[in-house]
Amino acid sequence: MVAKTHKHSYFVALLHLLKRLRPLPFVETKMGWDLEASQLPEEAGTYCLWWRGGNEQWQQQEEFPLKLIRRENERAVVKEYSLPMSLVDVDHHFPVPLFLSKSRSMAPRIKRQLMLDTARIPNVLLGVRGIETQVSHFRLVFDQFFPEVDNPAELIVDNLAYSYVKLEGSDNAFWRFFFTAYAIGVMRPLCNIDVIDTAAASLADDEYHFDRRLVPG
Amino acid sequence: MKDQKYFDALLNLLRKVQDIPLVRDGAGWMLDLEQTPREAGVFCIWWMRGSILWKDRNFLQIKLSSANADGEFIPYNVDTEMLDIETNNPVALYIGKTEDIGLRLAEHLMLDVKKIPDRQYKLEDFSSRYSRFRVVFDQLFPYLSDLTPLIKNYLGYSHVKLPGDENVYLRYYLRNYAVGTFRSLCNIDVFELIT
Repeated sequence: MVAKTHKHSYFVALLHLLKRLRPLPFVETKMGWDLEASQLPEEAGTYCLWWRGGNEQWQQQEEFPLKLIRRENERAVVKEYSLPMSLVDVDHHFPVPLFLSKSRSMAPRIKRQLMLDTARIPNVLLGVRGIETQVSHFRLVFDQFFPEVDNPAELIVDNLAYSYVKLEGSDNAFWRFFFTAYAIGVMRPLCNIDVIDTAAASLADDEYHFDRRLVPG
Repeated sequence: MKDQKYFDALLNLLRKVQDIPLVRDGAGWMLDLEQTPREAGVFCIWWMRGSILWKDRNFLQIKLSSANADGEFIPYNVDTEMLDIETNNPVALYIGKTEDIGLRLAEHLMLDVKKIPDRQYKLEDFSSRYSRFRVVFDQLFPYLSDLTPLIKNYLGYSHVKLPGDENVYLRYYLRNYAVGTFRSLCNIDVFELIT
């Protein structure tokens, strides 16, 4: 394990570990594709989902439209935003980070994020916060990148990999929190995006968002 | 491509701490909204003046929304080594993103509330009506019954304006980068769902 004394270099070392991609343990069942959870780390830590194929998919567009929720005058409003690809590191030839989160037990969380039993998130849910619907925030955003594809779950099986760093125990709860925030800021994973800003007094807290890992966690 | 240097430059802007502008409000004080930016951006609340209040403690105990199976909240000990308090530099306490820096700052400082009652915090406490900042900050000083003098005398703030819908993603990523880099204590959220 990396010494924690030099704080910034500790995060840099963890980030290095988090860039080590592993294949996701997909299994084909009678019901379709599934994940072999026993092959995933059960421990607490920070994990990342990656698009491991080429980045052509992401380079061809300058921006992606995304429907996300925001609050206006105490009401939840679905609003369309444009995600500028210039913010995201797709120019390099390494895989594209899609979603980064922390969890007290990674295996079940990764399984719930991927939602392989759901071909496509129903349109009616697009823009609805995963925190309120128990739908994976990753899929809420990921599926929107492929409006033409009937079965984004198949894309996941064909193109995704993952990585993780174990940070176990409640002693590490704070490190998981701060490291995950740091890694999101550095890697800028596409599907983490959450645009709940507060427009006026007594609206949703700027902290009360997907980053809380209620669903993503 | 906005590279890391761009984010580091924004982070440096966020290091420029200034006094929180206050005006009289009856017997107390309130944030002077005329002197604070009313635009979208990222802001940071800082402990500005010396670390004397932190130094004699090896850890700080805070209770957060993480509950065990019986619904009891779990107190966490924050090792003060995690925080940059050895130096006399300002300590970042809370970083937020908002569409209105002034309003959000006023909501977080809650200068009209002496102390957030110590009780079992629920998820809802961190949504609209409560200030995450105060919920955590007030727990750092369990022996005080009125936190507002501390806020008035010891805190500062900084901000980076990033207005408009086109900056909504930038605000999100910058906020995370700043929280991870500054390790702002009052942002801490250890709620992690297991299944």
